Amino acid sequence: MTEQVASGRASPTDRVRRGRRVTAALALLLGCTCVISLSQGAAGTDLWPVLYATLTGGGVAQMDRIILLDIRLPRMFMAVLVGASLAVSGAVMQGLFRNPLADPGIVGVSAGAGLGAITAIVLGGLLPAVLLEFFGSSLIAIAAFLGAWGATIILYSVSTRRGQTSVATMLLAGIAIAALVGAMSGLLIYAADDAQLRSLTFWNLGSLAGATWTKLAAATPIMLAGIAAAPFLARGLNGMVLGEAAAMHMGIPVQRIKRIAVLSVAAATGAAVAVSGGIGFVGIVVPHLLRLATGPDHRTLLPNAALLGAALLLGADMISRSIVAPAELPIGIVTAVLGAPVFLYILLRRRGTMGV
Amino acid sequence: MQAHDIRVTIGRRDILHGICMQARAGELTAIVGPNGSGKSTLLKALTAEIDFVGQVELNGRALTDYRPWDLAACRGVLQQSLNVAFPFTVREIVQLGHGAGLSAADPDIPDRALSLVDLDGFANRFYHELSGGEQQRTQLARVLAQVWIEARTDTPRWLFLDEPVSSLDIGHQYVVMDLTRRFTQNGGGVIAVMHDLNLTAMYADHVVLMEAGEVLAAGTASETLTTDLLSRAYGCPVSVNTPAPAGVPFVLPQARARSNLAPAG
Ligand SMILES: Nc1ncnc2c1ncn2[C@@H]1O[C@H](COP(=O)(O)OP(=O)(O)OP(=O)(O)O)[C@@H](O)[C@H]1O
Ligand SMILES: [Mg+2]
Repeated sequence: MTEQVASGRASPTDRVRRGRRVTAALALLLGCTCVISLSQGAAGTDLWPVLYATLTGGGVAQMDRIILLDIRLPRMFMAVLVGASLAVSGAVMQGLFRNPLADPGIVGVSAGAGLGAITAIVLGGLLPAVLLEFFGSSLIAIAAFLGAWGATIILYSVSTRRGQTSVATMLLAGIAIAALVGAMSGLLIYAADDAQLRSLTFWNLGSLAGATWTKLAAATPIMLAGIAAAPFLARGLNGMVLGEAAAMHMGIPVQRIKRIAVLSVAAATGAAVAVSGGIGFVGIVVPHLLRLATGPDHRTLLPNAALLGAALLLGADMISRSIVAPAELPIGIVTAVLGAPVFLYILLRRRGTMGV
Repeated sequence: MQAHDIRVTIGRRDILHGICMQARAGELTAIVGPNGSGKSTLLKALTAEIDFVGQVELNGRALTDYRPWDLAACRGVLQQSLNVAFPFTVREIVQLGHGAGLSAADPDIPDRALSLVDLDGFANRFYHELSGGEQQRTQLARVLAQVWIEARTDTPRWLFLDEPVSSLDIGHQYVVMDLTRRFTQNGGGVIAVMHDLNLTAMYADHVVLMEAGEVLAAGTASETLTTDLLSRAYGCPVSVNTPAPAGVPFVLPQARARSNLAPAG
């Protein structure tokens, strides 16, 4: 105990305990944000009278009911799921690449997901009718997942040699992948017909404005699968902080952890991109803030990232809806304004020490 | 630990050409040899870190028969170089190893391991803010916490150490070597790549002298660390048991524990 005083820093047991307290606080924050987001909107419908009327069996105007149940509620769920997906896949990817700059948006994974989605929109019609029937509205989400998966695998095999990731190679490979994928997407868009162009534009605008229960139903299982894998990765990612070989010597099944991590990132990012377009920087800001607050232990980092990511995206969505009301600012602009400075800050702080 | 006919090829280069060696529990086996002779590569093969041809047995079982976590429970590995990706504290690093071992239930072990490597009071410091030698001792504490032994165990536990004292001052070299000796006295086996021939002579029960991917000699320190063999292996004239010329100071670790040594031969 004297040691604790002497070092003047919170002890690691404190960091774990603090992590749990932060989890509780974040859950509370998320709950509040959800309620606020439901009661706020362009239509001016207030949550409480409607809730009161519903509970007491009173009449609720058809209009209010639609606004709450079919517009705000799916949008709230979408923001929560997409925010949690982006933040968790950022944290998992950073653990996998052992680097705080690895973010699906920055290193081309989201671009890969985008290519998948575009391919599904433009070429999906070529699939046999049975398959189309089978996948239904999930087709875009599944294609985006496959695109993200491919991009992650390419990125990992290019930038990691014998278990050590080169930061410079990773960032540059990300640029190359994004450029290549962008070119291919451009080609597909060029080949698209009018109807497809319309759905492409609609998809491209992304944002959370297009949230519907159908969209949500298509993407939710994939996002949830990606997020749910995270707790099983925590111990393995902790071990891999010392490198793959050291993790192996500590009894961690490294190859399996890597495979699951890549799949989890691809699922969460892919489905998030499929329903919301590219929303950047959530995956880098959230884990970074949490590492500052409660340390890099993935056992607390991953669940906290899900909660904070969800709350952050809900908050950003409220800003994007209210700042130029009744119009909407694309949410990607809000997250970029919040996130880009953090990214630059990490880069600057690491300059010189990590050969970036 | 038995290794038979280990061959390693990386790319198109043959790095190890058929190494046979054995190490016994309760002994410290030192692997010595010049830079690039394949010591680290041999250690990586013995710990299944790299692909190799040949057989390795640990405690009478082929390495390939172990599941990763069973292996981690009976042997710890300290690599030559390690960097830590995120700002973990010293205690958190040691806990990573501790959690992988059989004594993970005892929460005091990480701090005791740190105290063994003379890092009392460092537990809450950030790993990346430590000096090179302090980092090396932190990693050693992590490995010790993983294969913690306090009394004799039924199946021996093993430590594989690649240059465990390479960045340590002379005082801490003793701290670490004494620690490995205590580990062997409790029935554990230690296999260490060493560069300091004097420390090797003082602590090793068995020495494997390597040269260009082959075993040049194996045996006790007095059998292997001879003027002839060492000059051949290291390609430079070495004289064993000859005092430095008058006026040149020399520091001999053996002076500390002469009584431990067999008569020079
Ligand atoms: N990944 C690799 N690819 C190609 N060659 C390698 C690789 N690893 C090791 N080597 C070569 O194998 C030989 C043996 O290397 P090793 O690291 O085992 O030497 P060492 O005996 O541990 O040397 P040191 O005393 O410097 O630690 C060297 O010539 C080295 O260049
Ligand atoms: Mg070496």
